[in-house]
Amino acid sequence: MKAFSGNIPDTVLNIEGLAVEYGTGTGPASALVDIDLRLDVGERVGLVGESGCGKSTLLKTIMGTLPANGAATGGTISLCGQDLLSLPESERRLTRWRDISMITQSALNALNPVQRVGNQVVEAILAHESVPRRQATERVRSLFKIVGVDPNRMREYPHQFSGGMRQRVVIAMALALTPKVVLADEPTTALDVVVQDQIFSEIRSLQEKLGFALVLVTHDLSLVVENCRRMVVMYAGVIVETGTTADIVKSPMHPYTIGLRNAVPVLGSDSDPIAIPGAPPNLTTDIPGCRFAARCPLATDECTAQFPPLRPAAGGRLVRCHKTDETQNFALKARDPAAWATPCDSP
Amino acid sequence: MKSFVARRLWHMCLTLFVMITLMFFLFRMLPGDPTATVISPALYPKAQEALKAQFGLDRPLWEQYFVYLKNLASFDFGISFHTRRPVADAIEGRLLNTVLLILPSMFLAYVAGALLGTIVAWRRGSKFETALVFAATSLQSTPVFWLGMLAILLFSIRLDLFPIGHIVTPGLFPDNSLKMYVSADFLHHLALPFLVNALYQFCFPFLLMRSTMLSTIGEDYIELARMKGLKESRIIFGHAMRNSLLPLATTMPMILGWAVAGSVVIETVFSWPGLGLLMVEAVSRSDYPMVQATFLLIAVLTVAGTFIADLLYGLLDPRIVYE
Repeated sequence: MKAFSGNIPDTVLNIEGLAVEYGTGTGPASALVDIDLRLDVGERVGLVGESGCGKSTLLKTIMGTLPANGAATGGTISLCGQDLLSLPESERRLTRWRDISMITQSALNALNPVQRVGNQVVEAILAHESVPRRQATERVRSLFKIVGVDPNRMREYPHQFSGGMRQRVVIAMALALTPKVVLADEPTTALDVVVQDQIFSEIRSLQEKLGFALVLVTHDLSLVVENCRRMVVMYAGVIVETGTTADIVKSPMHPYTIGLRNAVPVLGSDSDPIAIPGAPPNLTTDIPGCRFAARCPLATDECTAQFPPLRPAAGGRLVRCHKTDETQNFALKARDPAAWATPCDSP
Repeated sequence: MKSFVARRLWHMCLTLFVMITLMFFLFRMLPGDPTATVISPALYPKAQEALKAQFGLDRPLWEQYFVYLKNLASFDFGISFHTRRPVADAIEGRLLNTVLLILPSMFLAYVAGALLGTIVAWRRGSKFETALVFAATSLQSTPVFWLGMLAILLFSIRLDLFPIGHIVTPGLFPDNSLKMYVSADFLHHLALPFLVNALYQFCFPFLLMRSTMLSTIGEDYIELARMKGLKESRIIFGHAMRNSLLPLATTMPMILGWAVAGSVVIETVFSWPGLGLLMVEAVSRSDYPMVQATFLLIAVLTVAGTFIADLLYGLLDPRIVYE
């Protein structure tokens, strides 16, 4: 991966070896370790993982809005060849939204309740471009039309909008400065499936028209299957598997990805979804080996002692596991809950 | 909106009527015979009777009550038992003194409280915050009369910087003309009670603003504002402070009535001839007409303040709609 760093013109965002720590009352928690993520121009990538696996932390690190107790302790985030982490805050601020914007989750809270929705988009434009206010307003009018909101509603307040309409406003806001990268953080969790589908077809068509790269962060595997060609699976602050969505869903190679696939209910299927026993590790403790080892039935002494690197596998896939030889076999019997008994369970 | 205002005005009238009734009977239940202070027991019984009749004190209580209501309806507050002059005149003379002391110090307290509360919340965890919050909580739990006395002790007696009390140097403006309010002597007398009151009143808006700001800062739209690349100042004052001002702005009118009532203490400590001092004097003299009128004034201020607060809320928060 290192060989390509930022030199290929197609790569718009390149994250290498990123590590993030949060200071907590019980010592530092390593929220992200050794994150490598490459995003090509106009690409749609899905980022999946359970709550607390570091998805949101990764997005906040990219946006540069980590809370005061969090900080990147290593690695680089380069946007078109420029390392964001080494920029001074004043310059960093200018890159926000202009180059990378975000469609946030729960659009109700993302909009300031006492400001007119139009103004909230206008102010994003005015913060970056010295254009007259009237011109910015005109642009927001056309943005509203693009995302399917009546431009005459610009003077209304967030509470006057339905959930779906609010989400459209947030999308319009994200596109206001025609960014190169849009990060979508569970953009439709608060919406019903019909509206969710509308919003996603909207996002897809806008993305194809405007050509920005999209990172879709979600814990809903089916959304990734529908929308993204490539996907990244995260667990406890590390990337465990990346590759094309089709490959990973068909034949997951990391035990966690196998478990994740089994945990998704299939409509009309006889078999019930199976949960992975156990819980993610406490990130304030020092974990020398694989972060999934404690829940992994294949774990050996090597796994608990040594942190596995992301190893290339067939089809351009990268898997962070010492036991990739055995996982294919394991995947076949993983539908049986008994297969998930870990060595630790039987003393 | 119109029907809301009409309904609220009607409620205000009801509230005030209950207040008036309560005050009328409550003060008459207090021990002590007011006639004793008005009518000298040394007078002939006949003369005493005549005086009682003149003030209407010989009639039954319920009849006095209706006469009082009738007079109130024509804004006749009666004649002071003590000065034998119309109550309205006495209040008029004192009201300006209280307003000049209370309003500017409240204004300063609220502006400073809102600004410092905002800054302190933004710089959470700094030494500046710890120090200011400690000072404000201690100050708020300090009785204001004690604070005033300490200020007099230090600034007036020890350092001899400010006069001990009164509104102007006695004898300087013998005709009590309005000229005295624009004199340097007046400002010199105003300074200490003004500062003590401002300091005391500062704590509430400051602490309220800080705690509302702290919860506002955690909102998603603040994080989004930062992601949008807005300037720090725009995020603090345009988004966070604007939203946090809501509870503060709506408590302010209500506090105003309370502050006028609170002027009792500060005016007594600084011998400031305002409404508060007038009330204290009137209560101690069982001067019914005066007591009733001053208390009524505070009731009106508080009720009107609450009404204004309600209207203000609708103006500041688009989510509030009146029907």
